[in-house]
Amino acid sequence: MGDKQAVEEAESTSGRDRLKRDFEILSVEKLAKSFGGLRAVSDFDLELKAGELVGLIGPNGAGKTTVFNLLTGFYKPTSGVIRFAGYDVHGMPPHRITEYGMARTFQNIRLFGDMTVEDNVKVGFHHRTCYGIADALLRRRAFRDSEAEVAQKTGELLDLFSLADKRGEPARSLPYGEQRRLEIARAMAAGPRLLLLDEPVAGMNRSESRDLMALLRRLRVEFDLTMLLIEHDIKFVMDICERIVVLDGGEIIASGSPAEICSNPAVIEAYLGSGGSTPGGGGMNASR
Amino acid sequence: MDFFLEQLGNGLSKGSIFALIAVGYTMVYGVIRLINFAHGEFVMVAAFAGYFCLGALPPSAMPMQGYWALGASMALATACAVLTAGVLAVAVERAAYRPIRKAGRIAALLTAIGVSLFLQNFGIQVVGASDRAFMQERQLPRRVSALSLYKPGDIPPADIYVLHEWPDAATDLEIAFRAGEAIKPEDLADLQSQGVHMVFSLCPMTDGLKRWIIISALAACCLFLHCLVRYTAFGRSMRAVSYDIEGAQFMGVNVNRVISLTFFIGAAIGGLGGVLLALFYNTLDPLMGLIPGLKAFIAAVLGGIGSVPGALLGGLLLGVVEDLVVAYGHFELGSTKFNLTTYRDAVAYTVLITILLLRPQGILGRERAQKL
Repeated sequence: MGDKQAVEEAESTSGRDRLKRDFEILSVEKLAKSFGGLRAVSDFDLELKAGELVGLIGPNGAGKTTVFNLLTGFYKPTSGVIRFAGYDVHGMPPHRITEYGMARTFQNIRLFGDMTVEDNVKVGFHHRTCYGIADALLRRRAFRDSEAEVAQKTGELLDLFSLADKRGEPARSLPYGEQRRLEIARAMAAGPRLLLLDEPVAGMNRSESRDLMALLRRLRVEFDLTMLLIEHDIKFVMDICERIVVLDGGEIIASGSPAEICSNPAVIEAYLGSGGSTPGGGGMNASR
Repeated sequence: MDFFLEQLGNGLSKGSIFALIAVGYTMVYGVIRLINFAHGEFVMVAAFAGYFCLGALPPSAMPMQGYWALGASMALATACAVLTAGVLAVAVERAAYRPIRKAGRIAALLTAIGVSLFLQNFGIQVVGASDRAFMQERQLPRRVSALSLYKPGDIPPADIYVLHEWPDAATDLEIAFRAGEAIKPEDLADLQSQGVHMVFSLCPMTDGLKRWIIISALAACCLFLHCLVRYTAFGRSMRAVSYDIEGAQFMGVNVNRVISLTFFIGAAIGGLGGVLLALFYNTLDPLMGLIPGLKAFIAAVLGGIGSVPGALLGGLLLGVVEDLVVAYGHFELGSTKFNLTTYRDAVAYTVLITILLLRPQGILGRERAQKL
């Protein structure tokens, strides 16, 4: 449990209290992943400063989700270095990386459909509960206190995500937009410092995605979050992100502010083939 | 009516044992979709652990008397059995199942069958193939009385033995008077001349007592499992892993730990079933886990594999149906005599197949949409 202590120390000294605002929370160097002969991601470099909101875009099959799977430890990188919150997390199992403060949502919603809304969020608190089965059996203090704390924090999160009145319903019975929100709430339960969002507004209509944008902005301030998001909705990405990284064929082809990306010829080429219009123009908006 | 209740009680106690064993199958299947065919052998090993513990710490070694001593001794034996089964299951999972977890279901199934055969034969090597009595007569609690209380012509309801020293060690039983026979004056005089002052009779382990023990053990386990799965962090992570093993990892759930604990708890409850199985039939041997294990697996499928309440229900149902077939198997229809007793299993499984035809996912099982 020494690592857990180290994480807590790191949280209190560098991450949470924002002494150093430009603390580098994630640093990825020369990350590569091949499946058999196929190079899904190669030469991927990324640096995220604490509090940044960065978009990761690219055409289908560009390797965006693979990057998420590498960062969260689901795939073992073929080569490269991933440093998260000052720790080398390369090759660690996903649950350990989550303990260090990285949480994610999924492109296809992956809620625990059988479980209630409340229990879904409570699972997110998993690594923050510390009692054994013996404690639970004997209803020791450790169990009661820990469960009471989890219940209270879950209640707060559900209020924040306007899901409090659905707490007892099975997750799968929620409408689509609420399932997306619940996924983020569940990720927030893990107490992340870096939140990875895989297509958070996919399938949402314009007003739903506007609401989500407001919510994300609020989370970012209230929880001092750093966010990296994958999104195909270019308008959404341009509106919310401070910096955008464009991936194509597993490699970074461009990186910069939204304005720079809009006018980058390599990006236009990747999205539309030669002779297309700018991402800000008709071509990319057509995906909405 | 009495006969029916008697049979129902018998069926329920057999069913409770199936149910306790079925829980292990269904829990493990629930988290990693593995039919752990070695589970019956965990049950067998647990029964032996209980047996040896009972031999080492018999009721006569307990500081209490009578049924209290038996209870204490049985509790120690059960704790030993439960822990042994749990630790064995965790070790087997770690050594045999985890390395091939990603290799596919057929590989895992074959490994489970391999572990099962290994444990059976290992058991035969270590303790021999012949069956043993789980509880010897001498281990039963004793009711001590003075010899002077008996008069010639009394008819003792149970065998009366000579108590040589106090407290009596587990020496060979030396019979003083036989049950149901009038005490002869010369026998009494003979004992008195030998200087015998105290005698004792054995408090028998009746079928009724066994039934109560077994059914209350099941009830306790149901309560334990319900609270564990519903109200604890472990229960939530177990449900999460069961629903989406990959997704749960990203929520900070240590999947390997959840799987280990699931094996431990499933096998521990199966181990309790093993002790009760040995107690119920008062016999144990290295192959004793095979048939009850198979029936418990069937019970788990019947109840809906992956569902803990389903396994409990399936076990009880299978036990009762089997027993009622035996109890009411003889009947006459017109002039033809039917005897279904020997077809006990066939009839029980016909019921099973019928239920599964109507509800392929099992009684409490949920239809799981195949992910495309």
